[in-house]
Amino acid sequence: MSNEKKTLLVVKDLKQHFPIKTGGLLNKKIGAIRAVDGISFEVKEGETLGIVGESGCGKSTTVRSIAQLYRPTSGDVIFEGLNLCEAKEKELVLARRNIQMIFQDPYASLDPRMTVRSIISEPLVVFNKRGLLDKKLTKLEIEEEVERLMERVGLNKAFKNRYPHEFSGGQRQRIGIARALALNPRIILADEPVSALDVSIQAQILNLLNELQKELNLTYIFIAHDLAVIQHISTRVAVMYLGKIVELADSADLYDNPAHPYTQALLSAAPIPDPEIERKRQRIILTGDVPSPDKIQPGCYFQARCPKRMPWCTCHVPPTFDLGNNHKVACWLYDEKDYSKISKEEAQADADKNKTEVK
Amino acid sequence: MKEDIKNKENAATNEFDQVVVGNSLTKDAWKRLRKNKMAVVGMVIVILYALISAFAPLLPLHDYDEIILDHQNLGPSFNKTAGELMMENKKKELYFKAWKDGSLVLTEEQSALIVSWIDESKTNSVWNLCLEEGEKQLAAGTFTWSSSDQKTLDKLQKKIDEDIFVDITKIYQGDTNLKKLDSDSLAKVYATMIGLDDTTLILEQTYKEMDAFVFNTIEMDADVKKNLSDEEKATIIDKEIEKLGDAYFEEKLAENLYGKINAQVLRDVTKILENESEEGTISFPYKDTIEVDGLTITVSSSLVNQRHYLLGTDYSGRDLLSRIIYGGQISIMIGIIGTLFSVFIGIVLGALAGYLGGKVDYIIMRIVDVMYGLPYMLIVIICMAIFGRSILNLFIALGIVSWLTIARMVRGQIMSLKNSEYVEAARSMGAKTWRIIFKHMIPNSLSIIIVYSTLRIPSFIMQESFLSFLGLGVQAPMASWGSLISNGVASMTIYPWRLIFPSIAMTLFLFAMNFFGDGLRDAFDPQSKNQL
Repeated sequence: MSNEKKTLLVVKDLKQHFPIKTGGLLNKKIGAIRAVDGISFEVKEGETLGIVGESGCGKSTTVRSIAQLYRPTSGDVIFEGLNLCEAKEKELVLARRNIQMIFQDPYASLDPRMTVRSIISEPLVVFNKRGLLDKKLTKLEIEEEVERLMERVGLNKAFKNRYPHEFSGGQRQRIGIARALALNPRIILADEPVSALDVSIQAQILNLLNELQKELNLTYIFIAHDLAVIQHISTRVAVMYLGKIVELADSADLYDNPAHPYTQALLSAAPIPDPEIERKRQRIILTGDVPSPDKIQPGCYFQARCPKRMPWCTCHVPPTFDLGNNHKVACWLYDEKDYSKISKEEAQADADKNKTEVK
Repeated sequence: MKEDIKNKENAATNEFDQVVVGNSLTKDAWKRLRKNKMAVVGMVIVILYALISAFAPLLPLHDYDEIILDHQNLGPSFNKTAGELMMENKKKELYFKAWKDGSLVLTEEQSALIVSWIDESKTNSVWNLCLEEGEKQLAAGTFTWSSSDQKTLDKLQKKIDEDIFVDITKIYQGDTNLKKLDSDSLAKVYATMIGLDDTTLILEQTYKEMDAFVFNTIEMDADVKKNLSDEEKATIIDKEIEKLGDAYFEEKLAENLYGKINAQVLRDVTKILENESEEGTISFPYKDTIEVDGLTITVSSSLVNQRHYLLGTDYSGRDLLSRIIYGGQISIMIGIIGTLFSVFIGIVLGALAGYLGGKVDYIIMRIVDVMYGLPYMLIVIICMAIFGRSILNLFIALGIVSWLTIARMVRGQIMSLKNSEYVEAARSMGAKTWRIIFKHMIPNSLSIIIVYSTLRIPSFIMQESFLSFLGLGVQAPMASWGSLISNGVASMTIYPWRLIFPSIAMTLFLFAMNFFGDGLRDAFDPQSKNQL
């Protein structure tokens, strides 16, 4: 069924490396933090792609690269046939109208010196001034639009003269959502929109996002590290680890049959809101630390902490295997060939052979 | 249409029909500032100073640069006139002389005391004791003035009673103000005044004066100038006059003639007023029009020795109160303009460094570091020595060494704002760079800039005072607090008021400004404790 829907956004081998520099006048580049290291996925119209992963795995960088807040190091972001990475300034601004962001921290993402009215109307004013709207808006029309948006996201329009610091966290996030909706975007990149909120407020904001999606046929890319939130809102889920997508599947499928050892560990760590089951729950406890993202790993990025590690994994980077039913996973366990019997020496020899072949 | 928008904006009413008004950070800061009593007191004092300086010309003050040599170093007094103080000073001097001559006999203890005071150079104590004892003995009849001293005192008394000060504000011939007449008509007026039939003689004389004036203004080697023959001189002068233009020459000519008439009129009027005052037919202060030689003259006149000097006078007999007020004008102006200058440079360079980053940032910040390392007062002193001592140069010299801190501050602020989420939000909605800088970054860094500026003003005043103290700042007859204090220090033991009053005025202002600045800093800091 989902195949019939139009593909809205395609991300191909997206890489975002932040250079490490010596500083000083010469400012030599001595390395790079590989925040996002070659990820690919597609987003279909009307769906919600959830991205989960632990802190520092590159979730936020991914959406910022898609929004072109950071210019990607390499790779393509294709929105409705337009490659944003190579787009000209003007095309990019036009595309931005359709790609809007909701930010994580509702305290930091609203300018404290602007009234709610000017915050929500800012995108309209910017586009109006540059003459990029379908029709020039008058001040009065903008004013009415602001009121409509405020009421749509559940804010009293009487508050439009107020300043952000006079609102609670949930209300501020509503202001942020109203601002993102102002230009009638097709896709909204939500960068942990609920992680800074109380649990009860989280539910309200999630429900609001759900309603808006149904009403306006929005597409979301939704980041969270709360697995329950992702399960609630997403149609598909991508699991990220150290700048790579390790597993990508439909939401129900992923939660029922996690394939990648990392996903399994992640899901087993989520508490279950039933004390009886919670007490009996078996947890997979990962040891070790996330490796530093400034080095290129010879093998699987997860192998150092993987409970199902094989010698083969230490020197071979896993490709993506399709398990069918839209379920993709990057793990050697799912190759047709069984690698578990291969000793360390044989694996190393194979890796060296590949290296020389490439050379 | 416009009203529609206004109505819409005001239509922010809640379900109870109450208008909901936002509470901006600035409003919030103002509320917090009002709670801080010291800051409010400081603010009131600063505003008071600003008002007094701004409206100084409207206040009933004596001119700050009017030199009356008879009034040198008069002490501060609420009730005594200048004349009485002059008399007192004279008497002190004469009593002391009398003691030295032996005609004023004091007890042995008192004499010993005076001798010891002289050794310690406690001049005031000596004079006061002599005056006190002398007056006592004079009243008791045990001491009389010698005839020459008595004559001196009588002469002084007469001078005090009779000296008048005449100020000619306007001279009219019929209905026309003499200042508006051209040189020919002025020459005619002057001729009739001094009893000549035609103007040739006057014009000849005036032209000669003008030639001399023009010749003086020509810039040329002094030796060459001296050795010119008369003909060469004449050709050079003619050329220069041609260069200056007819209008300019005519203006100067008229000015010269007007000055002559003014001097003549002043002499005549003073004579008339002196006669009348001797006859007792007028009372002072006098303000009226007088007719002389067919001219109508507006005159104001007063007995100069009836003046009151609340804060005393300085070494040239200038009123200290008005000098402090006009000096404050200059000091405050230097504080404000210097701050604006340094804040402007600091914001531009700091914002550039912070926003562009990379090499630009590196170079600007290294320049700042190097300049921090230099002793800044030395740079200012060198600048003043090279470019000459004028107020403008003072501004520039102080400005170029004082933008460093603000540049660093603004850079830091811009750098942190550049990565803030609301700036990212603005970028993600396609706002242009200038919009981000002017709508988001500058309004958000304005509060620290304001606070820094208010704390910067006193330090500028201090620096200016320091330079004036060294003799590199404001030059007489202009005054600044620094130069007044520097003058006062020279005679601190004999005339202490010349040091005390300017110091109090300056200290009070600096205190007030600092409290106000501190209050602003607390008010703009959202984390401060006295939150509403």
